[in-house]
Amino acid sequence: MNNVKSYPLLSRILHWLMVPLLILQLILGFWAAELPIGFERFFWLSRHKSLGMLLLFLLLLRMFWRFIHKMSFLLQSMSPLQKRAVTIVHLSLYACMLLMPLSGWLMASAAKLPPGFFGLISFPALIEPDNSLKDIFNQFHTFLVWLFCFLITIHIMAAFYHQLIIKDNVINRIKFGSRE
Amino acid sequence: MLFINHLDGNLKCSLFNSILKFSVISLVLNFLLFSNRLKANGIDEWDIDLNKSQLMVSVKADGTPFETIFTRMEGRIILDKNNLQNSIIDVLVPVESLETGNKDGDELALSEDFFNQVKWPHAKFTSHLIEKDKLNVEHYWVSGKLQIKGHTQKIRVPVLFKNNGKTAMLSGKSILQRLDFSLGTGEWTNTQWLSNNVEVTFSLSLKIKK
Repeated sequence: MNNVKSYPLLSRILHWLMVPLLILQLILGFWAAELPIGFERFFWLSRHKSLGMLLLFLLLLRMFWRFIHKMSFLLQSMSPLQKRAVTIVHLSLYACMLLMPLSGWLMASAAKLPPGFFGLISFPALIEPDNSLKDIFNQFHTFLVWLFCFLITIHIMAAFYHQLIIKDNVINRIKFGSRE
Repeated sequence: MLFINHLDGNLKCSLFNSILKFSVISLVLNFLLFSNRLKANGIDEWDIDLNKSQLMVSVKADGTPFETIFTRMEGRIILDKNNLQNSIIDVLVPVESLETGNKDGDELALSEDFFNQVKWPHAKFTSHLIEKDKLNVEHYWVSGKLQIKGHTQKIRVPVLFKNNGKTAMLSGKSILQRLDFSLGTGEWTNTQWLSNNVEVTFSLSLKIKK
């Protein structure tokens, strides 16, 4: 069971690059959303939006790479129930990582402040300004964030379960320095 | 008969007095009510048709254009291409009519940091000179004072004035520096985050004053 095949290098790089960025993004989002109206709120939400666009780009690259390498989440040793659970959690994680920035982009568009990229470029608004739509996308964005936190918890617990209890070295798929 | 004649004379006299009084009152009323027209010396005076007019300012927020419109304004516009020396363009804009399209943006724009609407409820432009552009027909240069938030700046704005007889369009675009008017205090003076340049575009639909 020690010969679990690694994911392609770029996939592993993208996974571990997105981990700290996603943590930073979650902290930034939770924190900035509570700030009162003013410069600080505007500043940190702008950074949150820029980072969101970077994460969206990294995610699309990751999905593309996954697609062309026909990567699977599953191991042959998994039971059908496990396979189903793994597929659901992974697909949901990807869906969250895709829909979080998209709902944020829609929310920012409805609020008439579409995202930029660290002041260098600005992205177009996806929809016309609309305060009630902004509130709806805000709720959806927040729901996705909590769902993502829940899924991440399962993802991390599953990694420990595989490593410490089943000991199938499934973590080698995503580790650096393991055999290809 | 004498009595009747006397009565007749009295009637004539009182009728004459009435006509005289009426004429004087009419003249005074005319002067009071239409003095603007008299001052305008017969040149065209216009009303702003708010439904078809637009005043918009655009600022770059972290590199992204952010537009605000003002939905109300009033003005005294006396404008005639053949009588520019007596032409006037005075516009008063209630700051509270601004709409950023964003609830937080509206609150911020009206706050002390920006327009400080409570203390300075109006922005005002008063022209003092209107000149023809030397090259382009229907193009003019309007010089005047712009007063915002207690600050006055002299500005010179290029405008296009298309007169269709009973209606007209007065439009133009100008770049202002928001910090000249203290629009943005404290951290908002940071022009990297909020551009100092503000693009003002206006297109006023005018109807001849009846």
